[in-house]
Amino acid sequence: MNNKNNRLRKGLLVYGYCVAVVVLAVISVVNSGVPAWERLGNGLLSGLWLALLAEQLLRVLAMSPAERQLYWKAERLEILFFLLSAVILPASWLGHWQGARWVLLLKLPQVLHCTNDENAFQFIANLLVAALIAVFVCPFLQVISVAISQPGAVINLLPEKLDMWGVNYVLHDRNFFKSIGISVLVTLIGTAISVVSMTMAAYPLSKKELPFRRTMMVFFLIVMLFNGGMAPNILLMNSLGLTNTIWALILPSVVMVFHLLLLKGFFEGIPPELEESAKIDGANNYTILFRIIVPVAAPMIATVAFFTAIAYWNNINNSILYITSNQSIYPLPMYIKNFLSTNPVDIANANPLLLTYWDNVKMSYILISILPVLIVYPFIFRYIKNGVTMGAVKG
Amino acid sequence: MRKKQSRHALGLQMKRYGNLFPFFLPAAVFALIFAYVPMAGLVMAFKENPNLLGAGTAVEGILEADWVGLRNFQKIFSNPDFLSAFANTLVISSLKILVVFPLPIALAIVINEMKARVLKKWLQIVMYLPYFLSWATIAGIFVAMLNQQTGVINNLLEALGHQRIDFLTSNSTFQGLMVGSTAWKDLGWSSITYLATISALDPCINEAAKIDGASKFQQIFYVTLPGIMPTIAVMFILRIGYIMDAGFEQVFVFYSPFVQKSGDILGMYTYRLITQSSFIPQYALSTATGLFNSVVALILVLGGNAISRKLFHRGIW
Repeated sequence: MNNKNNRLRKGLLVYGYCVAVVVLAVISVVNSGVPAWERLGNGLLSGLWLALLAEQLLRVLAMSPAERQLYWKAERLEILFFLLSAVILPASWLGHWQGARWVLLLKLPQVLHCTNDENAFQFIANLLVAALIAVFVCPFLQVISVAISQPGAVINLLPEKLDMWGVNYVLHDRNFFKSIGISVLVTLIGTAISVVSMTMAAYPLSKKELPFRRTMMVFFLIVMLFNGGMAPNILLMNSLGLTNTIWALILPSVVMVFHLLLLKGFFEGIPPELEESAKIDGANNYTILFRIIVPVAAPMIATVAFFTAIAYWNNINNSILYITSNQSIYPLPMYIKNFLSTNPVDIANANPLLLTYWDNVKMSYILISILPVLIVYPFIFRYIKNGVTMGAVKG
Repeated sequence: MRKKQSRHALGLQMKRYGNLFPFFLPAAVFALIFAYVPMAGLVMAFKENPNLLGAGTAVEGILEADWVGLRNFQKIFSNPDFLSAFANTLVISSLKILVVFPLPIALAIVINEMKARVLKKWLQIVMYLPYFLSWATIAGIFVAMLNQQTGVINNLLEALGHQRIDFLTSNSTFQGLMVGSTAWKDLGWSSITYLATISALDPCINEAAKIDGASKFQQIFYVTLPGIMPTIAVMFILRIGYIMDAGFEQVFVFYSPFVQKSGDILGMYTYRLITQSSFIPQYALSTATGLFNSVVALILVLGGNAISRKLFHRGIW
């Protein structure tokens, strides 16, 4: 008798809860505008809610004192739900409080206790992950679809009536490809300078016995922690005559102190015997660093080079501050930003069709600017999978 | 005596390691020119706005300007635009921390515990990609999704019986847009740290808990989460240190004059003082704003790092 009662109660808890959550989700997302439907949904939800509260009350009352003590300790969320319900359920009928009904989720752990929770967890996890994949993929789908569809078509993730005018326009935009070229140039030169100088500076810093080691560390840490701000930087670039040249995109970002620290940490882990033997053979410091240390540290240097390249490729700060009038050397991100904020009427004189195809052209730019990243992504994915924890804090 | 000895030791060390110093040269030169020289430029914060048209060079202009003490700071602190930019910086940053900080932790736990291999693999392929896109590209993608007339999200809202929402150029949604786009860009990437930490935990503890009858959620809340708590705490403290940086590039690409009330952050304000002042660039005021920002940020970062070192023996350096 008792057993059957328990099963009934569990059934109510699990299925009633699931239905209640679904009803709640539907009510909050769909705004049908028909009062009868709304009243039905609200009524259903409140009924289920009350049933859940009654079940909880009965369950707690039926407990032995020892069980109850455990319950207080372990199920705080459900108790919180019980207390909040007293306010939120009545208040939600008055309007404006409907969002607060999601406190229903507080009961989730208790419900999962009653099911085979490994399976339930896997089910929920799969749903969440599938939704998340959609969140990451759908925006790209939309960009592609808008880029290759006819103007004026209603596009929901899938292309409607193919029309490559926009893509074609972008492919014939010389300045766009020039900006890609500038980005490539800036990335290559910048990465080369930055990685070489960071590697060279990291090597002496990795020697524990180096005199003035702390001084040099502080010298570089200050660069990381403090800066002069925009105005002095802009004035400096002006006086050096670098404003509106591609060097303004490269030189200010050369010192990447975080990379310096990473390399220094890696060099410290290289056994000293390795260079001792070379020293005995009469090798000088340059030979030791570039012939012995660098090959050993190649994976770390490659990783740092990769992140430096990403930083240069995506940098938009330098072009905002230091490229004030020379639009012909905008790197890719700045070119895109500039195009996105252009008023179509301003450039429609050259090509009246631009106005019609404005959205498609914008998305074609985005699409083609993503392509380089997409092409190298499979290769860089390996770095990520190798457990590069750049974000990780060093011990 | 001891001093002599240590000087002797220093001499020896110099002899042994002194020839390593040329290695510092390139990095130190770049640091001096592009980081330390602008720091010297911070004196502008305590001077009149330099008259750059009359003076020969910027340096002369700055040197010739009169000292005004803290008057520049008084000026910006009494400017409502500055105060609103400061408030927006704090609000946007706090919202980002509140919403975006916990998500990668939850995601890492879910990825670690789930069994469906194919789904997991696909998620890991797609979730790191946004991190490698520039903010300009991401702004374009969000325009495609959120456009009031043609965006998918608005199409969906309309199909469900709601009004179309102007996400991109209205003050009520701009801060949410900043938080949402940050989450989209950084979610996958930030979860790497936690994934690495979780995979370094001892699986025996979880097994033992399972045998003792702990449910899945109890395993997560009483075993996994406490296991990665030190990492979470350190990351949190360090993240707080960067609260003064609300994301200049990000706001810049999404910004339009319509959202000045909710989207004007300190970075934008500093930038506008130089580029969009109606008469002459306000270098002095801009420098003062930048200095205020840098000093507060420095205190927060150093403080956060000190706390994290003291409590968890880990820091940024």
